[in-house]
Amino acid sequence: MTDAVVITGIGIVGPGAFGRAAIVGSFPELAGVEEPSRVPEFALEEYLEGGRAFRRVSGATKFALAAMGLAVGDAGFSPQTFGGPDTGIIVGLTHGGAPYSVRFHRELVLEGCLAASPLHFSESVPNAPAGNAAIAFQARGPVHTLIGEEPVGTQAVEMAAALLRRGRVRRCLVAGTEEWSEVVTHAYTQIDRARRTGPGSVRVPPLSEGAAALVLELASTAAERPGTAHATLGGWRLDRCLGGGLEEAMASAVRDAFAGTEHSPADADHILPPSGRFRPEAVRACAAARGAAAAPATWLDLGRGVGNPVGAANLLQMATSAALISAGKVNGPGLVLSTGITGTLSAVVLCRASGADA
Amino acid sequence: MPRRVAVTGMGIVTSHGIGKTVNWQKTLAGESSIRPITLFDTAGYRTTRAGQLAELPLAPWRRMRGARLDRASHLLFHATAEALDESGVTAAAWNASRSAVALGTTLGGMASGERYHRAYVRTGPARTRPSQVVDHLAHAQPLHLMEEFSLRGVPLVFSNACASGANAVGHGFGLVRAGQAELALCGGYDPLCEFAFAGFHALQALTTELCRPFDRRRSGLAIGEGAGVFLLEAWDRAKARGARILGEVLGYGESNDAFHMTRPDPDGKSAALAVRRALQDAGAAPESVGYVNAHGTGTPFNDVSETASLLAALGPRAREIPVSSSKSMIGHLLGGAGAVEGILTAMALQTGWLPPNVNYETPDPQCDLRIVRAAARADGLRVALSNSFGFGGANAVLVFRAVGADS
Repeated sequence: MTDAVVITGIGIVGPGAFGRAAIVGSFPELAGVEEPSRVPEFALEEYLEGGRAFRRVSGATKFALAAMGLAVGDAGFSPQTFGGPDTGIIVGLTHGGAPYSVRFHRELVLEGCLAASPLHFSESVPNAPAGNAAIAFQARGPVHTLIGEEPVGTQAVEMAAALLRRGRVRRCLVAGTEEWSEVVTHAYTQIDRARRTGPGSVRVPPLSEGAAALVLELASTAAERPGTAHATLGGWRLDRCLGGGLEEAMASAVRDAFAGTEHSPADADHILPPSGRFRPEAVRACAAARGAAAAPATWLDLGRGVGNPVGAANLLQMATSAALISAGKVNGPGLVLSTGITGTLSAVVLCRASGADA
Repeated sequence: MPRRVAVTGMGIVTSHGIGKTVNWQKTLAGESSIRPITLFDTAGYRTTRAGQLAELPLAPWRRMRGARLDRASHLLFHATAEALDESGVTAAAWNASRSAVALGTTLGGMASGERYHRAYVRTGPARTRPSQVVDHLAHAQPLHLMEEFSLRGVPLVFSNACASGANAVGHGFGLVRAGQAELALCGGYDPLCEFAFAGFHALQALTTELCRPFDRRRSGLAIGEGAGVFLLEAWDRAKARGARILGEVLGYGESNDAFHMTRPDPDGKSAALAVRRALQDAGAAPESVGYVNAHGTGTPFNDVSETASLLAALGPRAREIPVSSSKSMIGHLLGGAGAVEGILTAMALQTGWLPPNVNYETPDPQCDLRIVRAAARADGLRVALSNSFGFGGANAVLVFRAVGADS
């Protein structure tokens, strides 16, 4: 029997919500803020011991480090005890630290190459959050940055699970992070305007920013420490739908994600719809997969409260579901749906960890 | 029991040209393809040369408007077309099998992002083309590619700086070996763009002279561009369909320095860990290694650290193993480097010829390795390593074996 992958640490940094307790405390409305796009100013050292050493990093890196610091602490580790050669880090993002890229390029365009700051370059590369996190937590195992649309969080979790099951790592930090950018937001607005009549163009939440992090371990490893398993990764499915048929593809993904669990889609007691595009299609697909006889489920729409932090959105959804399951606010299984602008999609099932009732 | 993983297709584009034939000919001839940059204005930069492909014909896209796509997409198209063509794997066969796409890049289609932002700054947001933002994203090129070649699935896109391509190949290898995929299209790419050039210029990492990896007078790297793509396949499946097996991926190791964002750990201990892990993964003894295709950027820091890592992982025998860096001829391909250099390593095993490390003249006591100055025969070469290290402390090492070397 395959050893289950469990979530033993949760960290959330979003507009209006810092940490697991903030999410649990705001249930069932979840975090709702007046200005959903931005994370309020904060000092990194409040969430990460030694955080002052990273004071010049981009917002995307700062959010990631804070969320990771919270997750590592939540799992019962300190930054000094978490790392080592068997510790991995997987970060998923879409635009990452875009404002630093913009600053570097603006310096280049307006002032010339000699004025371009090396820091703005090195901190704008996509793997800056992961690289800095490796330093902060002394993670010397596999450290990866994955780029993709919103479902990139599922890819990060899938990779971490594979590393754990192949014995390549003993524990793995998985994070999604995104920093709001005026230029990126402008481009997305243009795209939405161009697609006003197409599918996925309606009711798109505003782009936002933030980070979410999970500590993943095998259930057996967590039990040895011992660590508390907040939730179990039940199953997941990634796909891409080209052209029409997104509803059918998503319904199929939902069924596949449940296939490896002891539950069916009808058992889901809470569902997190995509925070980006194709939300109505995903909702209809979910209803189709669950069937007419399914018991009512609680819909937790993060997009309404915190907007769409793109590459961080999917992990923010998973972190929310796991936190609520762990706190007993919901029983699970929870279903997390994600869609990207070009038809990438994912479904993730989170379950109550075995023994969590004890 | 882990499965064996065959290489049944390889495709390569560098400043040497498009395709394996021209790349191998020029590599063995020790030809430099570092030339004056024409893609952007280099006024004000301390150096004006890079490994730019002299002519990049637009790839024959059928499903997409190729002229609108970023240079990165064209590089990737050419390399993929060559790899798929060589393997004989069709879209139908791909889609009927468990298959995976894993690609690595540092900045994807950043030149498109530059165009968008330049217009944003100079003429105002209203005069910008949003498709350029979509096209600049690092996952856009793999998505375009899969659509064009009718390959189902979601690509996994690594952006681990200069180790990205090797990480992607290692990941594809892991999936095939574990039985989670029958076929894996994996590799890396990065086009030359001013953003990256200016970034390395700001970091003072670019040489103003010749790129001389491991030479005492080395003074920095030359940026390059290109793409490398492998078609990996379960060994038994490749044999069963009568595919021509070009080589074998035997192992993969990775680690992180956890030391500094842009500088390698001087003692190379984490890079050595990646080498040891790769050999352990391959089930190969250090004594079996007959060639190392080094990361060899030609920067003062990298080459010392890499030497230390090889000595730590392979012992004093590291000084006897032929080592070369192809960056001396084609530059540093960033996210494309690991895959392109992996292909050159596989070709060394296939042909029994070692690629040279050109411009190497003055030995450096801190880099006391056996550097291959000119292309050399290596009869009996069976196992070789390809090293890739990058910003953010990323270390990735691939182990390749020659066909027939298992007997």
